[in-house]
Amino acid sequence: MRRLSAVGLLTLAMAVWSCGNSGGGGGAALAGPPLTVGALFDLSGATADVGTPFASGVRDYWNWKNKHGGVAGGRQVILEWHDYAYQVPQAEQFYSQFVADKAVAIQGYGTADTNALRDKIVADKVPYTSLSYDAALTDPTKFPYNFVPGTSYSDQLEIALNWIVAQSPGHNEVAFFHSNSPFGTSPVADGRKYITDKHLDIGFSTYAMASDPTALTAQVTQAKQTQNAKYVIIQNIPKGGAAVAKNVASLGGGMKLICLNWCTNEVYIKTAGDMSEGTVGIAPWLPVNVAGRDAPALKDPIASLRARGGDVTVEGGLYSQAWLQSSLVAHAIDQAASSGQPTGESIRAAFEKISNFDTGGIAVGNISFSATNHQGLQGAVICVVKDGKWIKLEGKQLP
Amino acid sequence: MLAPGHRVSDRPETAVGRRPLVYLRMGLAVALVAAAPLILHTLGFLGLVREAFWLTVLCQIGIAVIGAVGLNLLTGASGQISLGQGGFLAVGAYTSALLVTRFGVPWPVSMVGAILLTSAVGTFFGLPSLRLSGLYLAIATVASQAIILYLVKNWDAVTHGVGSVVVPRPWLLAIRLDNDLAWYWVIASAAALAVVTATNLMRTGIGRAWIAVRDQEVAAAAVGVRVGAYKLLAFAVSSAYVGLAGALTAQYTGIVTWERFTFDVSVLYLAMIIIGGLGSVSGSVYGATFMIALPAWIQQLGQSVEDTFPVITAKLPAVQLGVFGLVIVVFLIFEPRGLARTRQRINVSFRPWPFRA
Repeated sequence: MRRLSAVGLLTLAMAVWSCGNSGGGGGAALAGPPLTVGALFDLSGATADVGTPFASGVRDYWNWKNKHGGVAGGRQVILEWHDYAYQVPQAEQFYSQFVADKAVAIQGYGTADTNALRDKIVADKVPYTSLSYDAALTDPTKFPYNFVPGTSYSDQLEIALNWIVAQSPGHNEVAFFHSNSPFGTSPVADGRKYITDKHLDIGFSTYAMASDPTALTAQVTQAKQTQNAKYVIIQNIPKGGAAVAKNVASLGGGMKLICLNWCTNEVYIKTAGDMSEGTVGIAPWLPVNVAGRDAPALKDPIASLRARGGDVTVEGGLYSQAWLQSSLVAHAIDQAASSGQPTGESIRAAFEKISNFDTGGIAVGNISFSATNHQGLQGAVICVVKDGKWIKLEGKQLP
Repeated sequence: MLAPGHRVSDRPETAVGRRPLVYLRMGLAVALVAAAPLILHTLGFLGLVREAFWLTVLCQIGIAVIGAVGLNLLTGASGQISLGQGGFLAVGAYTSALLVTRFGVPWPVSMVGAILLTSAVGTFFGLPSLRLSGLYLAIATVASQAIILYLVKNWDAVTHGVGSVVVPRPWLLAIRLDNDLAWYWVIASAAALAVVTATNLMRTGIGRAWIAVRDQEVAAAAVGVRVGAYKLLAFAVSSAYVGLAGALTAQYTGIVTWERFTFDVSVLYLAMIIIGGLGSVSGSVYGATFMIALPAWIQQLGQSVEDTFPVITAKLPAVQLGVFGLVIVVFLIFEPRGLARTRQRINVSFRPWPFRA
């Protein structure tokens, strides 16, 4: 009984301690009470290698912004963030929490959950940016509150197909390796339609990547020997892309790898090692080396990343991308506040008025939205991995 | 027949003096369930808890209770180990969601449809129990889980594959069920119904036949219990409960994805009934409450220490998983018969109060 009472006391103490609202910023309210912005990250799930540096970028940005004057005339921002481990049910649960805590904007994450939350986002009128560049999300009639700060996966696939056709005229066999999720299948339908509409001479086969590496070997072998593919387009995060690169290398190479945006980053080079050499990348957001170290948009994020002890050569690109995307949200809140209290609807209207938001050299162009266009960037830069670094291969390409 | 010297009224469950206590307990339970939102609101008003979060947790507990009661009837009462819970939940959820979205069926009818279809599927996957038992049956039910999940993920035309089925918010007699409080009443009523029917079922001949099959299958057959039929009946009835839980999940969350019905879920439900108490309906309730509230509480704890111990928040999913496993092991060591037995022991120790500490 005595042993139990000590345990009981400890539990009681922890229970009392734990019953409190979540942590968060909230400094001195200068011009009004703090605003809440919600954020979903994948820190422990399937896309954690991209999610982790991205999450650091978003969190550090809002900390920095709070220290440098806040938003909407001096108001602090409480970033309520959760790790949803790329599970849609978790995302949906955290979304309810964001709405209950009256978030004025949400920085979402994945294709599956952003699509699944569509009806709720419209009903709750919360402007929602996402890491998902799914083409469906850019349709304002279906997703009026969603804003995609990038070039859609479908556009990226079309750019890749154009590049392939330019590289080798005649018939080309293309193997499309994608993550077995809505994120992976997002551009497939549009890609096939593009091939038929433009009468491209391309044999297009899709391979849903199994998570088991030995099964991946079988799929790569099938692509190489049965389909005789010379080009492999990868729609996956660096971990998946590296797995494909390693399998292709172990089978003797002979296939050109083309990464769409989520493996066109330094994390891919680090994960794939030497096998990444020669991979082509479709980049709406530029890797640090391609943007150039003196790109204006890199100054603040790189300083912040160095201050927290991060590895600039690996995380720099994704971290600055996150920094800039968060500053886009801050900008929209500021614009909305200039004409009254920032609410979900007014921030959405502010988003739609954003024109040529300066991306300071780290994206293919400036970000623009309108009432009929919710896709922020158009086109992408084509890069290639040479000597362990991304370098520019061709300038801005449009689909 | 009772031996001479033992009167019917000596047995605790029929002794007249105990009756009022049973009704008192039932009344207290109903009062607690009815007052829970009010208690939560007061605590939230005082700033002690996040009301919205815990209301969601209560709704999830309600659904888990229904599923756990079903599984307990199968594994606890009838002795048929089943690790296919996730798959049957998926059948119930997708059936209800697809009936509503594709065929425009009213949602209560879709729930009935889900119950019936899950029951049929459960009976089909229960056929191995006629030949297998124990560990071998467990493996066979793992196969059912894998088959169902594979069908769900690849039958694109019907289930949208790895995408999601979005269910519109249902209406109940002019009230739109789009907030947690409304759902709480619906789910609590369904859970109460499930608990009452299961308790009564255990008192009928069917329940006694199940216990006989669990304890001594050969003796039960010798006495005249049709073992095969009762095993299949156990699968059918259990799957009906699980189908209801799945259908409620679909309607309550509004989004049906395969990720909610993985093998982890089967293990979670098994943990619920082990920790709650095998074979006991009230044990299912305790187990479900415990296993849902614990990770939620750890998450709130992790968030509140975020500023002082950011390391813990960063590794929160790992901490949750670790605590989950530890709890199961601790229970199996110290209280293998679960929380229901703990409650019994508390009752027993209070009986001579205040004459004994």
